Amino acid sequence: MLLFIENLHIHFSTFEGTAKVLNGVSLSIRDGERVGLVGETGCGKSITLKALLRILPTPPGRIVQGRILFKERDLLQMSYRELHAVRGCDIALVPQEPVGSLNPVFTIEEQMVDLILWQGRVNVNWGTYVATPLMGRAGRKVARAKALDHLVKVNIPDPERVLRSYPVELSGGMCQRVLIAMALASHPSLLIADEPGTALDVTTQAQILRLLKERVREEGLAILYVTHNLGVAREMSERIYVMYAGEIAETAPTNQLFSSPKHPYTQGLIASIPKLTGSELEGIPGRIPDYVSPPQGCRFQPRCEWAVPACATVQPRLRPVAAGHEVACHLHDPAFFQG
Amino acid sequence: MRYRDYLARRLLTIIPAFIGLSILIFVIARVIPGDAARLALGPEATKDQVEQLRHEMGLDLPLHIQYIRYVEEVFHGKLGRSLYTHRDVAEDLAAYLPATLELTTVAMLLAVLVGVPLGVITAMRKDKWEDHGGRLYALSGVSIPRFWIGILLQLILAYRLGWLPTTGRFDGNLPPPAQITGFYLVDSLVSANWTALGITVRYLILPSFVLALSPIAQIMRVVRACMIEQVRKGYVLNAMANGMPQNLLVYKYMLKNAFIATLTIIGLLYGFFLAGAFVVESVFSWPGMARYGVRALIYKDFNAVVGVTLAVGLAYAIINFVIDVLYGYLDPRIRLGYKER
Ligand SMILES: Nc1ncnc2c1ncn2[C@@H]1O[C@H](COP(=O)(O)OP(=O)(O)OP(=O)(O)O)[C@@H](O)[C@H]1O
Ligand code: SF4
Ligand SMILES: [Mg+2]
Repeated sequence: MLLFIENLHIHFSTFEGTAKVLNGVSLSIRDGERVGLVGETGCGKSITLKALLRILPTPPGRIVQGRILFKERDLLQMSYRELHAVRGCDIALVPQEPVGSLNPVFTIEEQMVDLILWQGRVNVNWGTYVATPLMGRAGRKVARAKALDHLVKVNIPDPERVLRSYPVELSGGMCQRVLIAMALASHPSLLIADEPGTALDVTTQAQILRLLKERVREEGLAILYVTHNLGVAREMSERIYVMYAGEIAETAPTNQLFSSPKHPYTQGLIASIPKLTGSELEGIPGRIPDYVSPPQGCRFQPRCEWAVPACATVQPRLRPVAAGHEVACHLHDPAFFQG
Repeated sequence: MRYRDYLARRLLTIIPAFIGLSILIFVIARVIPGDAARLALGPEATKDQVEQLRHEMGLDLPLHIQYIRYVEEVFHGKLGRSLYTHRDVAEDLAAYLPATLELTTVAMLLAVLVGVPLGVITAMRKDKWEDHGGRLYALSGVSIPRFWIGILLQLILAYRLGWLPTTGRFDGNLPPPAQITGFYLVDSLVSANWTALGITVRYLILPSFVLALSPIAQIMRVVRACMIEQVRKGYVLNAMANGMPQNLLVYKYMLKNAFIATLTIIGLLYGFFLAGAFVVESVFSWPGMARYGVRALIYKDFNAVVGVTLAVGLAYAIINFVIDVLYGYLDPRIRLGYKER
């Protein structure tokens, strides 16, 4: 197992009280597996990613419980030294927002070269840093050549110009490509993509998706692709986790999820994918519950048309219904009905 | 290329500031003092004599013509005589201005060099003891009067311990460095006069430190706020997620952003330095323009007041232009015209 998130609970202290956002999320990714994480906005997708990259702001956030094993080692327990050897090097992130994720006052070259040269260290030695351009001109030159190479690999037509540019001089799509190049620069074994391109227009977004898919396939790396669009997740992944209000509702191999969705929420999501045949768009009425005082039992209960009385009091657990297919819903728990 | 356009635009914006300044000094020089001819001739003069002189002095001309003539004179350095020193005001300024500029510039550099690192440290150690210490310093640094701190340090470090000179700008028993620019630091460096350089520095320490005390606190607080604001920015999260070393991220990537945001404050602070210089120069008997200006005001020495106003206005405009240049240099979004200041 490459990544194994086990029973992750994350709370936020807010003005209204403790927001119990993540409520026991478990998720696993095998080597080279393409996994999708789907859920509507605010369900806690980014929080999960931030926790595993250890960039969750704490406070206000707090990891209450859980383990995040990456190659058998708990990321949450790692020292900074160990963490820096993993973060960016073995796990890399393609962020959601392209322009804001690049430093506005440095050129792309500066940012990429520094990353290529110094990635993996907790701190740089200033002596070495200052000396790099002086004595080891070669050091920066080689890194620059590498950066150029990475830009070429993400189909940037004019990599020399892009290297010399500041983020404001580039389009959103171009920034997104640069970010993908940066993430892939270290040849990670897991790529995490947080809805890359949601801020871009549809055509560019499609290009970015195609590029990402191609790069992932070529490098043979595992990807955790996060999106609120089930259709996009279907494109990108071989297995999908459906998340609702800080819990995993259902997980299955992509084909199986679409052919026999079990959880009422998944069924609703699939029904609301816009179809080319022109059928009417069916949304799920209602919205994500308040995290400060979430529903006692199943968090989906207030919106569920199948809810039985017990749904309001007992939290359903993820349980297997078929090989590799797990659902957290009382309707699919025979034991629950037997008493 | 576009940096040049930016600089040109910045230079143009100085023009209205100068027009304002010239009107101000015209009012000080010609309007406030009242009838200059009457003053010059004394109460005994006849009406005709006064009219005669008024005509000679051009005081019977319309105000805007007088203004233009006056600006021309000033432009040629004709500032008139000081009532108090009986010297040409331009000469006085040449003697006193460098002392003040040297003091304020050194104090400003000191404030930046100390304030910025303190700001970064207190931001990175938010709510730890370093941060509480910084907050305490900021409170006292802004609220304790400068003359009080100045006198206290003077008593302890100079009188009691004798580590530093008490007053003045240079040792009275020794020749000052060769007069080239009037800035002792520059002059002693240029003429490779190391003894003079040492003495100059020793005399500068106390006054510039006292002058910088409260700006250090102000810069520290602004840098701290800007650094804390950076932490939430997407580029920081992304850099962290992609494994950028911590110190590189903080001291290179975040600090540049935070410092750009701080620059405006530093420009505004220069006015604060000039105002503070009045107090510090008095406490340390610094032979600068601030003391000269205060004396000019007390004795209603209008020519001198004009000279000082002009010099201060120019210095302020120049410093702020330098800040603008730096601004454009550091922030590509401004230089490339994507963002206005
Ligand atoms: N700093 C914070 N303080 C308090 N609550 C927060 C904070 N950050 C996130 N949350 C809560 O966590 C929930 C999940 O946020 P998250 O960013 O993970 O959503 P998401 O699933 O990524 O949504 P989107 O698709 O909009 O990106 C939010 O609804 C919010 O209530
Ligand atoms: S547990 Fe109950 S409320 Fe929750 S999804 Fe299943 S049926 Fe609906
Ligand atoms: Mg998100």
